[in-house]
Amino acid sequence: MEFACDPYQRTFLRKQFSSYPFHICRPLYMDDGPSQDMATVYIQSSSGGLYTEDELITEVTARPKTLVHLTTQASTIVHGASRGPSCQSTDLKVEEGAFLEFTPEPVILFPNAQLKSKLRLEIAESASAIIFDSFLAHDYAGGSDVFEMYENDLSAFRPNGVPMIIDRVKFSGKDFATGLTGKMSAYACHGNFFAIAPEADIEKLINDCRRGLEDTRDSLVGVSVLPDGRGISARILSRNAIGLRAALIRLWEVSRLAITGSPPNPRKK
Amino acid sequence: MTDRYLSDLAMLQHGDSAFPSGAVSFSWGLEALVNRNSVNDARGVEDFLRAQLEGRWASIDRSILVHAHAAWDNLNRLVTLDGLMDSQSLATELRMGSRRIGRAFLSVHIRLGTLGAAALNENVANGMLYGHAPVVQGAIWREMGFTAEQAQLMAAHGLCSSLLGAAVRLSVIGHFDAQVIRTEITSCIAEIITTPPCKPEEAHGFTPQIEIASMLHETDQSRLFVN
Repeated sequence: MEFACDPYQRTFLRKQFSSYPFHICRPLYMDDGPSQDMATVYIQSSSGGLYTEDELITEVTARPKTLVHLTTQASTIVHGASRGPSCQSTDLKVEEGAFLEFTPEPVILFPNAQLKSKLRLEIAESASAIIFDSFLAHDYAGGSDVFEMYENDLSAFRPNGVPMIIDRVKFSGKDFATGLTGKMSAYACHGNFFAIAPEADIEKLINDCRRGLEDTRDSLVGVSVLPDGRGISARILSRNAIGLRAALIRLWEVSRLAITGSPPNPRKK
Repeated sequence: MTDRYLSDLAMLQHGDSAFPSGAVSFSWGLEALVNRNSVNDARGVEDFLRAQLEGRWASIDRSILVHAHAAWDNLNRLVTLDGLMDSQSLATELRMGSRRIGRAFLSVHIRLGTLGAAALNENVANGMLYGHAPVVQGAIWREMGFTAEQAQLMAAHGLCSSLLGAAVRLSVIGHFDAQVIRTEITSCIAEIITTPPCKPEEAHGFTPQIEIASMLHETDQSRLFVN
């Protein structure tokens, strides 16, 4: 997908190509005020999730000054890997003055699932971005079987290749089941949140996030300033998907307000 | 034989908790977990230490340490390793803790007259390097003639001593408990060091509860430790 601005500064989907199982919905304009020209695109899958040996690739470019919100309609199930891991890779490129939100719903790791996931964000100095990245484990049989392996490689780079954020995880279902203090303990869901906001008042943003998360139930959430001081990262452990989602949405609302001056309207799912 | 004794004695000296590395001020997230009653006994401390070693040290810090040891005289490579370490330290207090320990380590070695310490410190002062602990330890220990294996043993032992010391000062465990845990964890350290370290560009870790604890610690009112 490639997004660009039309002559009236409205963001539109200039190029798109997708094949099975992806379905790209038409852009919707769901916000008011400063984000009224933001294109919201739901990426759907016509299959039942990620299967063994799947290799799904997503590439998105947000041209200068575009406003883009990309999301999925529902969680993505990762099925048991009978012949090998399920792989997905996402490349996001955000050019000067653009603002991209990538807020997929969590991946749900079924028993014996093996997921290798990679998200690479290339972001210009003056661009902004909000990224969600989350998973939870579920045994549909009601038992206590767990996934085999979760590998997640999330990184953000400047166009010159300098790394800003690297969060590379290899986490086995065995470790998840152990519930070791310091790793996931007894929590069932994990989430990452990143806001790269070069124009925002980061101190105010982090304080607002912390205040906004004070009443978050069933979750442990920490927020901190990114290494280059131009954004924030948050990590969430939650006992259930409701708590995980509530924390992510709260962080999104507060960060959107800091970046654009106006909070987002809810996305229906 | 004398050389071996000298090497062993130097290792004991530089890996000892009495060596003024600055690590005594750091709890690496333990204080916040103790404050929230998530760690309140010897079992909790051992799990926490195991998570630190397996979930972060083995696959990030150790990788950077070993590759800094190999690239001790290659400033460009040290800068890259230092940058990778920084971008993989998302909790501010953990990131700043590693930088502060690295700088304190250099400062002590300058006073001891260790070759290379002043030059590295200059690169920290002029902004070329952040001075993360595994980077400067790898480079300086190599300069001193320690092997990569010895460097790993010293770093792992240093982390354990520092964390167990913090647990004692937080009154979660006593001195004897600390030695029991240290004994239990020895095979874990040996197992980690037996495995070849991953490439720094593939370094990975997963200690979310520790990172969140460290992030929460930033605003905690009651604090004995820097992180």
